[in-house]
Amino acid sequence: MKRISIFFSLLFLAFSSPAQDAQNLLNAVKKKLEAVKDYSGDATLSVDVSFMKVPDSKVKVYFRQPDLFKIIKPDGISILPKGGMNVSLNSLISGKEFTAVPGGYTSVNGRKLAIIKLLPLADNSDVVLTTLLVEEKSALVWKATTTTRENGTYESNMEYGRFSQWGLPDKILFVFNTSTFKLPKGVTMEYEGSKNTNATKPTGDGKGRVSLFYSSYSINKGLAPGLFK
Amino acid sequence: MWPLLQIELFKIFKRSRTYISFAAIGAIVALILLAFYADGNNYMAFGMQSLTQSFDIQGKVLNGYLICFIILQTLLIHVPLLIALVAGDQVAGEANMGTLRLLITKPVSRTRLLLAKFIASTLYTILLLLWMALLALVVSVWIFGTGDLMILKSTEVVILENTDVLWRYFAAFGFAAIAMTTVAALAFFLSVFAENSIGPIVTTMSVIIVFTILSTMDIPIFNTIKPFLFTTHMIGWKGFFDAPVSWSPVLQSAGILLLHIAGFLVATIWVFRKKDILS
Amino acid sequence: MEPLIDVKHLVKNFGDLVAVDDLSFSVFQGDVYGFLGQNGAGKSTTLRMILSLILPSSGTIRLFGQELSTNRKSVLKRVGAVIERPDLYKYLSAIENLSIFARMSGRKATSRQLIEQLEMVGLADRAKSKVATYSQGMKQRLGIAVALVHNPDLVILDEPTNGLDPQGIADMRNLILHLSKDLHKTVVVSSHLLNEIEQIASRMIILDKGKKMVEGTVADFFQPAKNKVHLVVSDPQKAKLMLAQTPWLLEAEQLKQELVLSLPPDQVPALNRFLVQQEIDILSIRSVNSLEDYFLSLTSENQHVATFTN
Repeated sequence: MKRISIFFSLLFLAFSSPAQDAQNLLNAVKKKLEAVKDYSGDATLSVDVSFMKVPDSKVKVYFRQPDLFKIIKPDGISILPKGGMNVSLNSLISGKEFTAVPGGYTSVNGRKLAIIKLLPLADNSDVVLTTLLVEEKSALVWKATTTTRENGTYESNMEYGRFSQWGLPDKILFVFNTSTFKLPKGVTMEYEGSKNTNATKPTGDGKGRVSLFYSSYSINKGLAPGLFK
Repeated sequence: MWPLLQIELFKIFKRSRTYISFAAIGAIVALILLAFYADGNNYMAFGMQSLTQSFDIQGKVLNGYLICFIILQTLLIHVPLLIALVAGDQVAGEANMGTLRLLITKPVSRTRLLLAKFIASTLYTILLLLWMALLALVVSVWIFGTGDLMILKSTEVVILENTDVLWRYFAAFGFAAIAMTTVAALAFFLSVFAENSIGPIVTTMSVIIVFTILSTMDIPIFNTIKPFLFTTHMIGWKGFFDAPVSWSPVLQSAGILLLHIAGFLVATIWVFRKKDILS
Repeated sequence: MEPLIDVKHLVKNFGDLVAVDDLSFSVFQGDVYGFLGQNGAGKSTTLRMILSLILPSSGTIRLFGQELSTNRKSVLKRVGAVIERPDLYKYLSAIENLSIFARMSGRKATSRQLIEQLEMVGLADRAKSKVATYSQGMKQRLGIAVALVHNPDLVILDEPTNGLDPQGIADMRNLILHLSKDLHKTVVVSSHLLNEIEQIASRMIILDKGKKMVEGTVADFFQPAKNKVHLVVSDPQKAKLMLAQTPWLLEAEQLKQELVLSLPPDQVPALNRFLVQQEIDILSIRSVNSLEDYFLSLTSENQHVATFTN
């Protein structure tokens, strides 16, 4: 019994250093993100889903700690995958407790990124596992892959620029799995002419993509909670 | 030609049956509007079930533009009856009333008489559509406002920007005018053979219902004959709500309908010029 | 004088049925021209061909000296017609109906003129009532007003007295005479009733099975030489033997042992005396000089006798 506990102690010691690093890195990321109490942003939303034809549209993005997040198209319709609120790293990470597990390093576009896997401590969290690819020196998350209980797995790819000091991306590409969409033709009274043009459209890889290009952020100016209803 | 047309229009708009159509469209549109006003969000939730399973939809989906689309989709199946009611009566009704023989003894060529009658029927059709547009578009927008238009099709979802919708309705109503004039031309053609307007009206409706069923059903045997049915092309107005608009099939459909109109009209004149008036 | 209506070798087939068979006749300016024949004799078909309602299978129709088929518009401007029932737009008023047909005939009439037209047929006070509320006689009069609204030179009336009461029939007769005598219009009128035509027509044609039986002035049909004597006697066989010895011509032997002889009216007493002398009892002797009998004798086998004597 004692030998076993020694083994575990050794094991713990052997791995404590990278684990500690991962937690530290997470804390750095969180610290950066938590500096943003709220923001509103102007962005262009592009939806690329095989069965959807949605024009790019100007949207307003609102965030308020801990996880209030909303994308609104004024006077219009915006369409986002379920769980789309997790497009935002802030609402994914900010103010939440995780166990961070290191996953080594990888290189994306010539950028060396640390892999950390986050296990939420809260029992009732929809998120099961989040994998972050983080640039260590800037504490910026370039990619987040999240597996949820309800809404499947999706990934967010971030690009930073003007707002990197707040940990806010200029561009987010959100990739998610889509099922197909079908209604009976008898209901929709389909026009045959439309079908011909649809046939030329590639069927896609079963994944949908939503991207947000931010043109501006307004940070920590205070937002009424009523906005998110 | 103009005096003849005036006379034909006078005869159409002096009849109470002409206004049945306007009242019917008014009543149907009012009912649809009322239904959506009272319970629209439930309808929307039901209609979008397949989509809301995996997507969050934000914004005012239920708006005047969408209701106009629903009204068009619903009404354009029924409007042919109202068109046939007048167009199918043009010659057969006169024969039934006994006025045809008096009309034909007048110093007016049969061709011109038919053209005047057909143009009058077409103007009636267009007025009916304008009335429908006024109710379906103007009143819907007045009550429900404008917004982006989301259309669920059998295999895709289309969202059109608020500012990108109105012209499509103008185009769609223009197309609908061609489609409904095709119905008028068919009823008008059949009208020449009958001495009672019930026959042409019922025949027109039967043709359209059977063709529409064949056009709508997704059954392989029927699919091969679909392009040859004019009803397949009559719903071409929906092509304007694609993004981008699939111009070539829509224009092709419009062309096919125009050919039908010309064909029916030429056949009508050809038959009627040789017809002995025995009524 | 050139005829107003000149029909030559007119034929109309409806499938196997020959409705009008090689018909030729002429109507002259000022005529009241009677078209006489049983139902189905081809009267209506002929009149409808003159009005371009029915296209002839062959033959020519000239109106006012012009070929109808090539001058339809200019010719029909000068024609007014009532064909069978005077059907008009029931949902329109009398004046609206009148206005429509005036314009279609190329006349722009003011409402004042239209009212005057209605006054002529006694409908001015009902000018604004819907035709649906009119009686049969009123419709007939309105039909006449419509036929006359563009002041045509030729008026064609197909069976104008159909469905009218005796007063209506008399009114129609007076109207036709008025059109002819006072307004100097040429009138073509058809009927299956001889006595109507007999009273008004100046010239007439009798049709049977699409063929012309006879055409001429009414006076022609009253020639004394064509007088007939209908005789019913006790012993027709003996009478026939006796008559064979005389110059009087036995024309026919009809039902009920009636003998028909052709002889002038002034010889009837002589015939009477002769038969009495031969001891033949005369049950009935009747001198007939009516168009009606002539008409009956001409048309097919005297069928539908009741039709002509109602």
